Amino acid sequence: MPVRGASLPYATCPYCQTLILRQGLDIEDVGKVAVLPFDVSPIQLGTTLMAEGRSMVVVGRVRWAWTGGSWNEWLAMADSGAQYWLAEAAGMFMLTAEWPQLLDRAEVRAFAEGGTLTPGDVIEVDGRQLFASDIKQVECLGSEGDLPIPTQIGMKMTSVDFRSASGEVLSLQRDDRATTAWFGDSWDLVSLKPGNLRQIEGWTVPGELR
Amino acid sequence: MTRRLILYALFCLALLAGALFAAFNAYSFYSDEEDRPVASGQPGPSHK
Amino acid sequence: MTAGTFGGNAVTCPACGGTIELRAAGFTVNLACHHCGSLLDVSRPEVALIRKYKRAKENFALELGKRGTLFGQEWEVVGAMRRKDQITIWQEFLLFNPYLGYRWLVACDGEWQFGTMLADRPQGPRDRVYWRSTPFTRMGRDQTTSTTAVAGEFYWRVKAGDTATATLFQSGDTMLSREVSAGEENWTQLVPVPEAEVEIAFGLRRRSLPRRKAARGPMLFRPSIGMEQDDLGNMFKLALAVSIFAAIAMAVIAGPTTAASTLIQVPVGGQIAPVKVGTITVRRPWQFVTIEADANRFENRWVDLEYNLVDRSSEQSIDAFGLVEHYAGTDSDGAWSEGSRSGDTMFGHVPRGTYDVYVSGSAHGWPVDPYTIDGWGSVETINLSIEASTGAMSWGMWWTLVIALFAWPLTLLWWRFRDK
Repeated sequence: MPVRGASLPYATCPYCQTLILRQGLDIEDVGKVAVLPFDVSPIQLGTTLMAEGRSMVVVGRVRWAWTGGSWNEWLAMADSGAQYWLAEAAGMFMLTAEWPQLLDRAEVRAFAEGGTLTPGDVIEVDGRQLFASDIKQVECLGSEGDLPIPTQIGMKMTSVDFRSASGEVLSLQRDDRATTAWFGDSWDLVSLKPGNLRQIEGWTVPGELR
Repeated sequence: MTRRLILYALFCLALLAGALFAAFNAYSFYSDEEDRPVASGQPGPSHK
Repeated sequence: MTAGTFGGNAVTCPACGGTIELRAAGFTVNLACHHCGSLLDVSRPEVALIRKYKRAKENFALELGKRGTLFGQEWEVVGAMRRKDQITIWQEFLLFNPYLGYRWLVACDGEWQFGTMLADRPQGPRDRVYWRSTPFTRMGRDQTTSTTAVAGEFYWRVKAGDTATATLFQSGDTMLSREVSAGEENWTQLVPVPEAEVEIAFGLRRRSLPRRKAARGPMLFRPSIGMEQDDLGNMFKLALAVSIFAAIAMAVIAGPTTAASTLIQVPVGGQIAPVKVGTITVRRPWQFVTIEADANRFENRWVDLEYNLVDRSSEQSIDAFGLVEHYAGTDSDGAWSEGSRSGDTMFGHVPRGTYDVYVSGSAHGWPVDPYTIDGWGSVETINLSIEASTGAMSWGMWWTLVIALFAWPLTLLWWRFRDK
């Protein structure tokens, strides 16, 4: 199986559902990954996107669940090697890039050290006010492709989304190992100029997406 | 303009037409002819 | 939790065992089984039963699973909800296309709207918001809406009984709807769709359409969603304008005026023979004749008056009666008085002609007539000025009109406050 770049140390074997950790030349069996349930997402591994002048390709996916439902997070790699998460919920997309400088903020550091955030908490990023809107405990339902994080069955994390009025989003994700901050914007599929979309049985790809 | 406002305007016009027709013919629900005020009983205060 | 099975894009209902096609697999969170109505959670690989029901199929205007093209895009009807506020009941349909996501079709009062969720939130104060630099004006107050029935698939946790606070904003044909529930704020852009286009796209089950306004008797005045407040101010203005216009018109129609008057003395405990008040002329085909009796000060007396209008040409008489009474006393609650020392009498529908007006009457004491002759040897009398005139309007009729005019807007206002 192909294993891409050292920045994505984890890979899910599509044949045996084993999560593999690659460290240097060693390959380690981390555990089993659940089979992803069938869905009708238009994205697939290999889908290309174009956002803010950068072209990227989807290389992995994690499916997360919380008490209110479940959704896909697609990992996209830009030509430069930068990683983006494309969150897909109710047919809307949020594309975020890692924003490590935010981890120095006092309020983010407090969260990283186990503190709690409440809906309505404000954080300013790039001169814009974002409000904590979605605070949830999430659990991994399964994964595919190459990923920067381990995604064994039952892997849990705390996810907090901050949103601005114009659609920008900041996502803080805290698991046992680390806290990461991701900042980006809301998109619809058309404006992501996708290529190599999945052919979904019974549906034709709309003209503006071809 | 809402549909019910139009209906209400028509209702107002109908009432107005009725009132003007009654005024032209000097009809009133409250005229007193043949209507002896004491017919219902002895006059006197209703105060108890 | 009862587990059902989940295979491909079909699920087995853990309550009734029926097979349900999952149309938006991966997006759908809750699903109402179309066989038994039970509510299922399909957000995880194992299907969970949330609430078991056993009931007949809900009837909605669009059939679940129908596909059609609206605004150049193909959509499948995946969910249906019946919702209501204090004013109306409507249906909302969830449309899905895996490449385009979700849209809404709202059927209310015979009109259809196509809804798109907004990722960016309109900004502004309470009554005016800006969305992509277009100003939208608030329509009506916040409405509490509740979901009364659900069928099909939804991308959130849905159930009958869910409530939300909805506010509408308008700019031309486009509306923005803000719904707040459980702290979450969602904005939807709504544009009108002709019913014919909905019918061509998805077919319509007309018998299941939300009932139109006209079918509802007194609810005839029910507004379209969100419009219930907008027109109330205009209704009051209209009622006021019609009232003022009617007062002027009725006064003009009532004229012209002629009048005659006299003074009479009626002995208490006695009566007087007819006295001629004067002559008046009705100059229009029909007019009102009013006779006003004004008495001097008296207490605990009443005066019965009889008026006769005698037509000079035909010698026919029109009769009417007037009463002047005033009483006063003291009881455990203190002093009281009632009655009036003047009385108006109105003759309606008096035909054109010249009339001699006569008045006769009798006066009495309450509770009994006093001695007819007091200690000074004079008879107690009540002095009345009698004035007869043509050309007055009937204020009673005008007030009746005003009450009828204001009845509707006041009823609507009352509904609103009762709802609050």
